[in-house]
Amino acid sequence: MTKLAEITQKIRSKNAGPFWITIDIFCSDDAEFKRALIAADSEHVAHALGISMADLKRYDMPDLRVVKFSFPRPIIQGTRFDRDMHGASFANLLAELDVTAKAKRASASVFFVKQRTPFQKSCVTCDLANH
Amino acid sequence: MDKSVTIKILIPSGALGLGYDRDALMRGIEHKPDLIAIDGGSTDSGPHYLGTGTSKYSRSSIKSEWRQLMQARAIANVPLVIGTAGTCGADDAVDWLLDITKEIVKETDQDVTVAILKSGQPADRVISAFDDGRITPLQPLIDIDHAVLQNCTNIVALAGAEQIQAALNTGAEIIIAGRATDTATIAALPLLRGCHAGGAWHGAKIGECGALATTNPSSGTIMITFDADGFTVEPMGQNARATPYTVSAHMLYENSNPLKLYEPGGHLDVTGASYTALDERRVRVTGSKWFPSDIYTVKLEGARCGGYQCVSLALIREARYVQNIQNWTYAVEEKCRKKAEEQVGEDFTLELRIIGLNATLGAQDLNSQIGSEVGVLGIITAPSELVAKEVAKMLNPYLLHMPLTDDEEMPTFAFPFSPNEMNRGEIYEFCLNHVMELDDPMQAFSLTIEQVRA
Repeated sequence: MTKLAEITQKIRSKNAGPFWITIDIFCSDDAEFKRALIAADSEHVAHALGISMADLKRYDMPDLRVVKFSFPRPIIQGTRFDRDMHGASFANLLAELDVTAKAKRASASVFFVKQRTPFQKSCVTCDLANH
Repeated sequence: MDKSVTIKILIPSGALGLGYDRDALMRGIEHKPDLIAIDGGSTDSGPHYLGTGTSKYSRSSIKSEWRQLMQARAIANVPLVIGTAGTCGADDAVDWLLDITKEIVKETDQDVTVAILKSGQPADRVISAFDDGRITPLQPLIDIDHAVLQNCTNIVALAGAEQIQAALNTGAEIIIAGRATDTATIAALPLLRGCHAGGAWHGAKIGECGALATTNPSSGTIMITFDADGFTVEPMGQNARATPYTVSAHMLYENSNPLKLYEPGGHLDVTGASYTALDERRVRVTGSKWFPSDIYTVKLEGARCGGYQCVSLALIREARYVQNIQNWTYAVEEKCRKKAEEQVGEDFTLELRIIGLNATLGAQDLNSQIGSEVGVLGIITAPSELVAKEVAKMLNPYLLHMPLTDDEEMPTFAFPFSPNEMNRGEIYEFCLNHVMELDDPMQAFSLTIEQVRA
């Protein structure tokens, strides 16, 4: 079994206001980023986080070699059932994601990563006012 | 636009109370900034602070850092601006920092002119805006009605650049602002002097966490120089460097959308921004765009009481109990809940979290492993402090002595405290995720000037 943390540089999570969590997956080079794009499959990620696909916003950012996910907190920050005020531990759910099957598929496929382009967005509808 | 205009904003650290490198701050003062801006808080640490209108940081650490900044301001002879004073930016928190400022003025024997910008919203104002259809929900949707608004202990509106500019225009030496966007205190002056609007907001976002956008975050202090085309980032810490990577990656940090930032009066889009290293330590950014909106809105934050809480912790080391902790915990929870429902009614919640198994992520954690010991944290939340305490006291004997099976000797587990119940008092919850439309930016804010004399 290969975990997402083993094929990427760093994975961190943080609250983004009281109602959102954001997770950043950092890669150390383009090859790693290519693998992460496939390994961090959105459906796989939504399942690991326990949220619906419709709630998951994804940003693929080739210039930074970062895959970013944002989603509404399953439990609003600081309410009685909240376990993690700053959303710091959500990163572990993705760090421990089993990417064995996904990673194999990625290395077998031809994947083109653009160089020196502005941030690429793949499914962006998440507009947060005045955060 | 005046092509030669440049505005230097010195940001001592990501927030007052976090600490910073004093040498870096003094180096910043030597670079002759036009303004010193610092953030006083955010919603980051949860609803308690807005709920109570209090500060997260200790009064003495705030006073010590604020005194140093006031002294640095006097040397530079430029305005010092703090936004979201006292962690939450409620009116009480602004008054708290104003009191500290007055003490410092007396102790240092230096008179100052202070502009006080308040962001607190009376419930009636928000209710009337709600009835007029001038309150719009943001994602994720949260339902509100008159009762929700009336029950908020504090509602604040986030000030933008316009309200900070109104305070700057008074000529005050120090501006203590209530809740404001993280970027407003930094962007206000460059925008007022005609610097590039996209650059002003983007540079403010990069600078708002101090040296977090550099290779050495703990050095704290950063200078952002704004001009007619963009901005330049220069860390003031000796070992800190800004690189195109550290600067562009900062847009990811605690932002759900790394490309757009919504502010009162419009939004920033950094999709086309380009980041160039000027040398080993400085980065130049151009190409960020500002899109003004047709309607002027300010974001609202509100907190209301979410009940009263009491917690209790048992530590379990006996191997057989550790191995069977999930079953034991279910049994304790079930017995205590049944007893409490009989005696105090059903209006409470009881939750047991197993520390050492999955207390952090709950059922979502598929890779949890048990160690040699576990903690069982009981959390009781009820409509009154009395009921929360009563249920916590009912939980006490189960946490201490409950056997796994009926036909075994009564065990005893480790309680770290006496009494073992810890009263957490009133808890709060954020209950607004909305924007409010204004005809004039100052409509929902108050600005007063005070001459503070030694």
